Amino acid sequence: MKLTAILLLFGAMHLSAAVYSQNVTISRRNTTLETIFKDIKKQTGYLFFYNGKVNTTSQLLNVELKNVPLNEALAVCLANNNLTYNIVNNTIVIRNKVNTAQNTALSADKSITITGKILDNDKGEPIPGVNITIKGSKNLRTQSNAKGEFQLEAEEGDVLVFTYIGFKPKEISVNSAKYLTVRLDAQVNSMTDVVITGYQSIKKDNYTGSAVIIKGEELKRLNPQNILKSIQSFDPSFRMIDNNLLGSDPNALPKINVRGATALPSINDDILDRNNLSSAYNLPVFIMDGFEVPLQKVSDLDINRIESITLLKDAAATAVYGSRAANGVLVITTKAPIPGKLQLSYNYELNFTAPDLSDYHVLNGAQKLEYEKLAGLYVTGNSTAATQEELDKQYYAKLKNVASGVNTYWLAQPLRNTYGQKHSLYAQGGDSTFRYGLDLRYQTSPGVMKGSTRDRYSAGMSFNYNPNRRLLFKNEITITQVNAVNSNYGDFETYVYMNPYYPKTDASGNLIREIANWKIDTHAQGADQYKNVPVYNPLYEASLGNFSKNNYLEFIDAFSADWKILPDLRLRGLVSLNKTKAVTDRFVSPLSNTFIEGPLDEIQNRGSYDYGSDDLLNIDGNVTLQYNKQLGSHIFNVVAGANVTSKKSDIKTFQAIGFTNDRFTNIGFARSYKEDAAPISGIALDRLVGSFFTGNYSFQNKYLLDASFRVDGSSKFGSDRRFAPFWSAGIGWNVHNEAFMKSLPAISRFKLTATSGQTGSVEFPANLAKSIYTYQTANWYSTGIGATVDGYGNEDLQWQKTISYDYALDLGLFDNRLMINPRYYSKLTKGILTDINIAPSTGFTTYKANLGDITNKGFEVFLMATAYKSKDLNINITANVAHNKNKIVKISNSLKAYNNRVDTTQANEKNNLKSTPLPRYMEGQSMNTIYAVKSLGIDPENGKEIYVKRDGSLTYEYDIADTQPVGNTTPKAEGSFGSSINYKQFLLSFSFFYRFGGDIYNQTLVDRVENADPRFNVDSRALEEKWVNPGDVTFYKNIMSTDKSFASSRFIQKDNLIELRSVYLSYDLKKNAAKRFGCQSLRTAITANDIFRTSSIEVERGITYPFARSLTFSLLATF
Amino acid sequence: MKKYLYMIVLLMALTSCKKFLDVKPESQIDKNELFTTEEGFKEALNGIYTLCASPKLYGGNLTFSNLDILAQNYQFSDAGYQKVANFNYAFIDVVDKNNEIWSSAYRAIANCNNILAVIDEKKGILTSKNHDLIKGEALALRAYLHFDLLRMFAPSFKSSPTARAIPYVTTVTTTSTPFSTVTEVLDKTLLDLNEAKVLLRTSDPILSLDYSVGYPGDDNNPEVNTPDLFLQNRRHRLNYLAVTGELARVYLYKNDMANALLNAELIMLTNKFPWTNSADFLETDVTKKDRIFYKELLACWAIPKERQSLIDLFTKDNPAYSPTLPQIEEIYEKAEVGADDLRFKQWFIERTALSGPRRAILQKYLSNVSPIPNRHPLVAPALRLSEIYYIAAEASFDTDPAIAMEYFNIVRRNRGIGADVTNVTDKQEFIELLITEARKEFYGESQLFYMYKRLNHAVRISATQATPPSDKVFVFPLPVDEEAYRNN
Repeated sequence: MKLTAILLLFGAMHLSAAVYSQNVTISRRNTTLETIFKDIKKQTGYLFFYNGKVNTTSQLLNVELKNVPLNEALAVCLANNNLTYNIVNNTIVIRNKVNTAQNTALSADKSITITGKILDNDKGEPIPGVNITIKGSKNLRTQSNAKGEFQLEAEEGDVLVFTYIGFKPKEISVNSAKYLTVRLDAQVNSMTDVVITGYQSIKKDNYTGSAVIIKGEELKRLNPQNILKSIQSFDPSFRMIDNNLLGSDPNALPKINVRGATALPSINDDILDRNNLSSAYNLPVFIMDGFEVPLQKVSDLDINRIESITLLKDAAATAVYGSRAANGVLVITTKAPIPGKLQLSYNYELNFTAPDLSDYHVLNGAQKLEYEKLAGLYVTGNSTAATQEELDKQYYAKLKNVASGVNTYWLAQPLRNTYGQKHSLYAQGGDSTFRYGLDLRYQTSPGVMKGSTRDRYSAGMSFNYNPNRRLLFKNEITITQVNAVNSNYGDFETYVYMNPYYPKTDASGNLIREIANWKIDTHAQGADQYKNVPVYNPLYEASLGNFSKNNYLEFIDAFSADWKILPDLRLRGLVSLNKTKAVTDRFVSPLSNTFIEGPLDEIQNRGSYDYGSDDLLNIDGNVTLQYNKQLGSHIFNVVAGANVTSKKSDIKTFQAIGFTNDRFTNIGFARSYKEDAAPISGIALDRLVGSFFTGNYSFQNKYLLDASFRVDGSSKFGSDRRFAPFWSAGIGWNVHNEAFMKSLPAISRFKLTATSGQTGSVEFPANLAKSIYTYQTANWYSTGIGATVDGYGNEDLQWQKTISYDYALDLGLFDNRLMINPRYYSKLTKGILTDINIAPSTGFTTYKANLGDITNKGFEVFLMATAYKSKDLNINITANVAHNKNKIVKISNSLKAYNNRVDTTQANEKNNLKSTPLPRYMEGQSMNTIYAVKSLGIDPENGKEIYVKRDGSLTYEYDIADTQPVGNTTPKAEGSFGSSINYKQFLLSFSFFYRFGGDIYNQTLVDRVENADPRFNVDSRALEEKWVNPGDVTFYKNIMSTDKSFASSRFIQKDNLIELRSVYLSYDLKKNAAKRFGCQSLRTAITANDIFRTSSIEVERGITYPFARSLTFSLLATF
Repeated sequence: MKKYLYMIVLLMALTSCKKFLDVKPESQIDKNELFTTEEGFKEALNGIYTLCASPKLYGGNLTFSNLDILAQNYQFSDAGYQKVANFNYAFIDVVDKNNEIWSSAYRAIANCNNILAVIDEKKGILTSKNHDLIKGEALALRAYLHFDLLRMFAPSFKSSPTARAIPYVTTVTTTSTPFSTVTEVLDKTLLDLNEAKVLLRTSDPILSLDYSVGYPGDDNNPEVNTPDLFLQNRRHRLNYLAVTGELARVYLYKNDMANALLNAELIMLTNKFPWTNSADFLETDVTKKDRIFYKELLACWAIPKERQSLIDLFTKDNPAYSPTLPQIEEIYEKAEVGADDLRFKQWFIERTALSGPRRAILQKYLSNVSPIPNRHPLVAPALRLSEIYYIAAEASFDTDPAIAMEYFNIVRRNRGIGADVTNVTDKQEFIELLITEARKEFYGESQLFYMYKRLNHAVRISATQATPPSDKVFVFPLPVDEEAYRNN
């Protein structure tokens, strides 16, 4: 059978390669049916499909046919084998002939002949091949034909059972009706009724945990390009942190947290601004088909492969993952092959992307020059760098440029409108014994900055093999290649700062390298007082041979075995292996501006090549024993299991220098390695073992109980602290199943749940609990290599633990046409890993300890309504809202000291950080609090800013010590709302994202208006809205002022936002129409993403990489 | 069959947990793993020298930085350096540097203590010579570092022997070690040094008869021709004689003249360190020139990585540190006995400055443009023979002034000063003479400041100017973190 499937598969590949005839010629003696089938297939291209019960080998027969029509040939061959056939779309389905005559004879007196038709309840299409049995008897009575029709004899009172894989079984009692129209519901539709925790599947009705379930198709509808962004629309607690720096860079990984931040920064990192704050610790754990995968895998996954996504949030849902679960668990289930004849589905996407510059308002050439004049750039009083005559000369040179029409729109230079494509092909088929699936994908995702792109190729092959009813083996192999290239146009910011009166090219059309040169008074002593600051043309740099790219090849094999020991008892084992090889290459041309000012005796060392590789090997294995039993009104669902994971990463990097030119960019052309630098390597190995028990019990479907217990051990801790227990418990009450609810028919669902539990998190570097010596490889002492101790390894380090409570109501009204699901949660994360300062005489300044508590409290409300429902028109409305309040309960002395360090760092002019509100950490405040000095605005008399000191008095003097909490970026609420409208073959859906009530420090106002350096291009508000004359009531200070304005509450603005994230329109061709194109179904769709946005603040978005809008056309055909 | 497979998987998952979780880092090494081989001990010891030779300690801060500026060796136009020269210890750059010195020195001490905590129980895996050598050097390094911290952050023994000084740390823990008094620190230092001296006496190859000091390029130089790299360049580590010299230094600081003299004379008796041949010092071929009296160094720190930073500090066109020409002429007594002083002639070249008086550019740490090799490696001097003679002179002055003057004159003669000083009987006059000579000898080596402090002597700024001695001048304030984060 396996062989047949593989043959079928290969057959499929040649499907379109040849033209076949409908007549066959067969001449064989003493042959089996199987051989004849092969002959027929060869000649006609028709595929054969049959299950294991069909005997094709035992009887030998002689066949002599010459150019006979196919039907005739089949009839001859099958005549003596008690077999029958029908032909469905180039596939010949062979079945055992059902001996209806015999059955009829036995009960001729009561029997009725029933005819009927079986339809897919969703699509209204007939289903061929549905098995029809009579309840209580195992014998197959008949199957539906190609038109979905059937005919059989049955007695009144018999119960007919209709089964077909992929559909829910349906039972119909035989009564007097002679004609039945049976509508089967597709099994996939029930997906949302089942919670898949990765270790088990539980009916949602009987589950107390908090889970959001999203079907793959819905996910794709919202955003076919970005899985994670799409998830956010379904659950606002799954927060993708806005990355205003990286915008829509296709190669950037998002930062995510679920139900609030739970990690404190390490103070050994340099002073961090919010964009750098590592939020990797807050990531949920991603489980794909039972094993853990990294975020990268999820973001590169082919969205077509996703069957469903389950986001588990509270302790009851996640405790089974124990130590990894504190930030939630995202369970991804990929599609498993569906048996049946070979089915091919092909998906094509064409994705147009265009940069969104609507938040950029820069000056044009004439305005810019006017601004420069107003700002006093051409008056000697402000600078002693040049004489008035020189300044005038400079001014008129620029004026000449402006007058002659130079008005370069620099913003557009590095950008492009672009399109990406995706082809993905999926083939599946097989029978109930052996099923197979094959998927291929090619996808390009070019970004809006020229040259940046991410191309993905993947191929996967899976099979399911049931040698008998009790055993199931599955194996899935996936190979993915991702090639990412970063734009060599540099930071987008550079272009924003370029003056429009600068020409790009010289008179002969060549790119100018150094466009301008400003003489600046640095106010330093002596020879360093005046400095020439050149302005280089970023386009020149982009025209060089620089490149920065990375790629990885990932191989995943997942094998599982499932053994039904007893009908209620299953043993499952799963092993997966993930081997990834990632390589980064970065070349900087010897002609680059980075080297231009370097010393001349180092000229042979210009140009550099950085090479890095990372070999990853992750192994994940688990064994579970499951017991499901219904005893009267008691339903048990119990799982015990163990799992082991091991992750190893092996990083190697080195740098080569000295290239002759741009043509030879291969590393082999490098002159030398970097002087005094050794190659770098890092091997991190991290292992985890755990064993767990989880049980789910319900009584009369009314009273529910969930409990989990897990013990985890991690290699990251000292030998005494490796193991820790995690647990959860949940109770629930299905009030709607109570008898007294019958009197309230409007309420169709009323479920109350409460859960609590303790989970953990271990997302931190591997060796904190050990005293580690590092070899000084690049710095040998004259008597040999030295090893020095890095830090104090705290052997007492423990797991950080999150204790959470979750209360929820699940309310359904009017036959579940309106579903409301409010939830309240409270999480206390204790023992957060943080730095502790110690007296440096110990030899160390800090060590890691579990000291730090954070609470996150909040609510979520989900709403789903079927606004209108009829045969042709369905309107569904969904909306959700989430609110989270984050509070630091306890922090260590080092974070308090960190605050002081931030003060001094910020106060130091050299660091140029006075205008940025750096994060600080205070007990009682949120992780998202903004710290700055309070301001009353600009004094209309003199254009100076008035500050409020800590004691409440007013001053013009800015003192960093007056810094206090002035805002909080956490929104009061955020969420999504949208609707999907289904009309006949059309489906329209859209989704809005909103948030309100948070604060934002408008860095654009500070950097690009208030403190704008007039030598560079600025936001248009710098020209229009600054203080010029006494009495002007303005938001901004004196236009002439060259002092930097500091971080003050003046720049805090309300962050209210509404975004149209997605609009989707699809059209499904009617079956008949689709057939005309040679397919079973054909869907065309169009999705528009991020097309509209309105916000209460005007801030430049996408600093180093702009944001983009996109439009995707897609075509999905199944054959 | 399959049943067994499952059981094997289950068993594997559950039984070997403990071993499975015991993960060893591969690109680095766990402390406990390092100290399971002799190589590991050697690497840990070399690591301490790497730390000491780093710019945070003797490769920068403790040799070519504030201590040298405080000795008033330079003149600055930069306001920041001038604040340092004015003993402004509240100046942020000084505070930062002192914090760095404090924490780096204690980091190096923790590295010593890691070795010392286990070396005796691991005696079995080390040869007895290497055990003694490594333990001896680790003890010596611990003492050496503590002594320098004491000389910076505590009052001098002379001014207040019972004052609270610094913690003398001998264990690795997160619990703070209590402060000791000046005398206690000195006693602990002496205890460690004397123990080190005993251990090294039998194990240090520098004492073998065929070990003689020389330049690396010399034929058959025993300093670099040992097949075991670990045993090469004994003078780049705290060898037996360096420990003896350090003992002399510490005894002198503690005003224990007898023991200081005993140790100083012990070094002279070995005759290991010849005075530098003036031909080598005056050599015009830069590859054969000795700029630093390399053979006279009892111990030094190898700092090849600091080449560029030393160029920036001393020898580039507009270096960060440079004296004026008149200043140098005054220090080297050009008008009196100094005209023929080899150091004055070889260590400085004149350069016209952009503004102000002509400058003298220090040549002591000049390294040739690569790839032309120097005669000797780039090192930061730790202890030199001349200091041993100065110690011997000072320690014997009270008992035998004639001998003292002879020791004093030997150094002068070897530096090209022909005229001996004789018949000095007044101690104060002798001390003034000694300071004048030490100032010439230790230029750019950061030992002079310690000398002023030990003697509680005014810091000379110029012929007419001096800063009177006081704790404000001589005691660096303790790092704020040290007081703030003590936990007992």
